[in-house]
Amino acid sequence: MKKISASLVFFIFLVASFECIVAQTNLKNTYNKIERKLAEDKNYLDTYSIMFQANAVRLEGLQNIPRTNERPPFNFNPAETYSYEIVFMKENAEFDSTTVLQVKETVDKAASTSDFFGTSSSESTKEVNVVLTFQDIEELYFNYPETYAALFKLTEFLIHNNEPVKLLGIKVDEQVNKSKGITSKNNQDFLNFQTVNSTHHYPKVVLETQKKARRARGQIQETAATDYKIDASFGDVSFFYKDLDLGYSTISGEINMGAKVLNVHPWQAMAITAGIRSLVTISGTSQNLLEDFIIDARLMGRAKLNTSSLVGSLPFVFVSKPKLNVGSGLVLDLSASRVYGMPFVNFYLATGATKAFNPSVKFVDRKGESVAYFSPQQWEASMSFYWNTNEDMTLRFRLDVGAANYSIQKINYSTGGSLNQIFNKVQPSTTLYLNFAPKNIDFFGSSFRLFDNQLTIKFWLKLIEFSSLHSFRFETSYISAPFMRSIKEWEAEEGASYFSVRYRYGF
Amino acid sequence: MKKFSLLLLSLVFFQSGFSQETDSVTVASLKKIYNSLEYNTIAFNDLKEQWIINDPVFIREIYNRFVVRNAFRINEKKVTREFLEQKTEDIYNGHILIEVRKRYYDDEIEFFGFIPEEEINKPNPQYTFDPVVDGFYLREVLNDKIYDKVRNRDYYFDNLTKTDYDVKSGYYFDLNLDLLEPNVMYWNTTSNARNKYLLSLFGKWGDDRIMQPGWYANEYIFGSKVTYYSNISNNQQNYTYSVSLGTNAPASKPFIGTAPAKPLYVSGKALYVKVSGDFMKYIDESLTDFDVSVETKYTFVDNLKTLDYGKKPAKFDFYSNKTYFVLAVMKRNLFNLFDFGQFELGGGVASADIHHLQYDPAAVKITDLQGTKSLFDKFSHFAFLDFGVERTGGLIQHNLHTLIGYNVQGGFGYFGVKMKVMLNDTFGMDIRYFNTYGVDKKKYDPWRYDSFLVFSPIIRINY
Repeated sequence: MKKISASLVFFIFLVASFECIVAQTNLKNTYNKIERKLAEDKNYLDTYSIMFQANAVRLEGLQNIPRTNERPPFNFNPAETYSYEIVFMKENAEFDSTTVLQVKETVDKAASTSDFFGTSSSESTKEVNVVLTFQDIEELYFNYPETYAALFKLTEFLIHNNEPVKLLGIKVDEQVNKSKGITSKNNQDFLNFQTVNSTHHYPKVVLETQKKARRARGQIQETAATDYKIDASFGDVSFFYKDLDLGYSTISGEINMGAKVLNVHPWQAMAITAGIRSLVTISGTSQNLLEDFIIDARLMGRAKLNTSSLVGSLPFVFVSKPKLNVGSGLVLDLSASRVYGMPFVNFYLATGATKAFNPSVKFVDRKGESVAYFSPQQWEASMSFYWNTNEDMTLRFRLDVGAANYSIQKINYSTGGSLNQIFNKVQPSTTLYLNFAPKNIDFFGSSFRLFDNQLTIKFWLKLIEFSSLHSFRFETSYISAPFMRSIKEWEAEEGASYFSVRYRYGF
Repeated sequence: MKKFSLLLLSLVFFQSGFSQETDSVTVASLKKIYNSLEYNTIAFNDLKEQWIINDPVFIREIYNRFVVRNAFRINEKKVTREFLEQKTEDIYNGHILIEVRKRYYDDEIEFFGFIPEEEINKPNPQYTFDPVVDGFYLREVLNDKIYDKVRNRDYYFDNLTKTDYDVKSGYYFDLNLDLLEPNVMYWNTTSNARNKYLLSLFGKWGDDRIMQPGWYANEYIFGSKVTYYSNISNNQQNYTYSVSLGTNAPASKPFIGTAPAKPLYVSGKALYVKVSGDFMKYIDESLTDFDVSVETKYTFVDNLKTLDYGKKPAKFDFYSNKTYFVLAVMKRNLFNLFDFGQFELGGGVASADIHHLQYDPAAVKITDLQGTKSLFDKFSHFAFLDFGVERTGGLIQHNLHTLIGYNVQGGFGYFGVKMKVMLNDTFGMDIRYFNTYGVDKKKYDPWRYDSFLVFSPIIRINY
C-alpha cells in the first residue's frame, strides 16, 4: 500500500513538473517571438526610441539592474562615449500607457581610441548592443516592480523633454492610396500640362510630393535660368528673351505652319502664321501661379503661302497634294485657368476676308470642272478637364470637350461662278491628352482628337537632354481619312502622317 | 509517511498551479504586446494581397516543416499526435489548403493559416490549426527559401485579392461622353454642407419612347441642366430634382442605310424642357425611389421660308416633328434580381405631332400638305411600359431595359432593348435595338424605319 502511495505521489509530481515545463516553454517561445520581431522587422514596428546619456539624467533605482539568462546585473555607464536608447511602444488599443521594450547601449569607439599616429579617426565606429532585452524588462516588470517603475519614470521624463524618434519603417503618409486618381483644385494640372506640352515657356511648379523629398540620384537639377528660351521643330518655332519678362506677363514670339482647327498637318495648310504670345497672371499682392488667374494668349497674323508643290518634296510630310486653301487673316488663341470654379477654357478664332481670295491650289473635280476651295474662318471653344492617376502625377490626363467650326467656300472657274459658301457647320470636338512625366520630368506625350469624323493622333518622346538646357524630342502625328461619312471634295481620301524633331533650349 | 505524502502532494499542486497561473498571465500579457508591436492596418484587411496555396506537393512541404518544428498549435496549445495523424490524412487527400495574406505597406506575410477546403470563403472560417500571424516567426519555421517562395508565389495558387473597383461619384467634374446622351458636368456649388447643385451641358439624340431613336432623328437636342442633390450620394441616381433647358439643331446620320421614302427633317427652332425628380415622396413619404419626368419639345420658330432649308435642286416632300410631350414614371430599386441588379419598372404616355411638308425651290414658302388638318389631329399618342435591371456598383455596371409601346393613331406597336454596360464606370457601350409589331401598313408613317439599331461608345471621367 505504501509502495502504491509513493508511486502515485511520484507520478503526480512528475505530471505537475511536466506541465510546469510546458508552461515555461510556452513563455520562452513567446519571448523568442517578440525578441525576433524586434530584431528583424525593420518596417512595421509601431515603436519609438529616445536617446540619453547616463550622466545627463538621474538614475535613481537603476543600479545593478537584474538581467535574465544568467547575465550579470547591468549598470548605466556615465562616460561620454556611452549613450543609451530606450525603445518603447506608445499607448495604444491594448495599453493605456507607455510600454518599455528594450534598452540599447551605443559605444563610440572612435571617440575613445586613436590611431597609430595618435590622432583620432575621422569616421566614428559605433557599437550598438541591446543591454536590456525585452525579456529582461518584462522580468523586471513581474519580479522587480520598483526597478521597472524607475525605468518607466525615466522613459516618461525623457519623452516629456524630448521628441522621440519614430521607428516605423514604412512611409505611411507617402504611401496613401486612393480609390481613384486625383485632380487638382488649383492651377497645378494646368501648369503641369503646359510646362510639358506648350511650345512657349511656362514656369515649372514643384509638385507637392517633390517638396517633401530631397533630391534623389537621377533626378534633374533645377534648370538655371537662361537669357533665351527656344522651341523649334520642322513645323513651328517659338522664342523668348529674358527682357520680355514683365513680371505680371511674359511675351514671346511664334511662327508656325499649321492651322489649328482644320484636320491638316503643318505645311499642308498652305499658310504661315506669326505673332506674339503673352502669358498674363492676374494676381493680388503677390504672384502665386498655383492660385492666380492665368491667361495664355496668342495674337497672330496668318498669310497664305503656297507650299503645295513643296509638300511633296518635304521628307517629313506624307500627304497627298493639298486641296484646301487657308485664307489670310487674324488668329486669336486663348487659354485661361479657372474662374469661379469653372473648368479651364480655351478659345481659338482664325478669321479673314471671305470674298477676295486668290487660291494657291486649283484642281479639276469629278465633274471635270476647275474648282478651288478655301476656308476663311475657323473657331473652336472648349473646356479642359485634368486628372492624374495618382498623387505623384506621373500619368496625367487632359480631356478637352467643346465645339468647333470651319467654313468652306468654293469657286468654280469653269462656270465663272462667284465665291459660294458650301459648308459651315458647328461640330463637337474632343481631344484626349496623355502625358507620362515620371518625377515631373517630361518624357512622353500623346493626344487623340476626334473632330469632323476624323481622328488625329499625336505622339512625342523625349530623345535626349543634356546640360539640363538642351533637349530633343521626336514627334509624329497621323490624321485619319474621314470615317462614318462620305469624303468631301476638298479632303484627302487617305490618312496623312507627319514627323518632326523638336529642339527645346532653356525650358 | 502518509502525512508526508499528503504534504508533498499539496505543495506540488500548489506550486505547480501557482506557477502555471503566473506564467499564463505573463504569456497573456506578452501576447498583447506581441500583437501591438506592428503598425495597425486593420482598415485595409480586405484590400491586402491574399491568396490560397493549392499546390498539393508544396502544401506537404510546408506542412512537414511545421511538424518538424513542432509549430502547430490549437488555442495556443500543442496538438496531439492523433490529431496530427488525422490531419495528415486530410493533407494526403488534398482537403487542406493554405490561406496567405500579405501586409498592406510591404511585402511580408501577416497571415498564414491551414484551412479545410470547405471553409474557404466562409465569413468566419475554422482553421485547422492556429494561423501564424507573424511573418518573421513563419520565416523561422519554414526557412528563408520556402518563406520567399510563399511570398513570391512561386508555385500554383489561386488569387483572392480584392481589386478595388469601387464606383464612387465625384462632384467636381463629370464627363459622360455618350453620343446618344452626353452629359458634361462642369460646375458645382453647395448652399450647406450636405447638398450640391450641379450645372451640366447635355445632349440628346432621339427619343425611344416616341420611337425616334438617335441616329434616325435628324435632330440633336442640346442645352444646359441643373441637378440638385439634397444629400450627396455615391449613386448619382439619387438626385432630388433636375431641370433641363435646351434647343435643337439638325444632325446628320453617321451611317446611311436604306432610307425611308420620305425623310424626317428639322423645321424650326425648338425649346426643350425636362423636369425630373423623386417628387412622389412629397405626396407620401413611403413613395420613394420614384423617378418622375415630364419632358417636352416645342418649336417656337417655324422655318416657313424655302431658303431656310438651303438650295435644293428639285421639289420633294418631307416630314417634321415640331412638338412632343412625354410623361414617364419609373419605380427604382423594386427588388434585387438574383444579384444581377435592382429591378425597375415604369411606364408612361407620350404625344408627338408630325407635319407633312413640301419643299419647292420655285416657291418662296414651304407648303403644308396637311394644311386642312387641325393641329390636334397631327398628334399621335403613345403608351409604353419600361422595365429592366440596373446595377451601379462593382466592376461592371449595367442598365438593361426593355421598352414596349403602342402608337394608337399610327396603328403599330414597338418594342426594344436598351443596354448600357460600363466597365468600372469609365468605359462602356450604349446599344439600343427597336423593332415594330402589328404594323398597319396603311397608317404607318413613310418616314419611319421598321427596326433600328443605334449604339455609342461611352467614356466617363468623374472626379
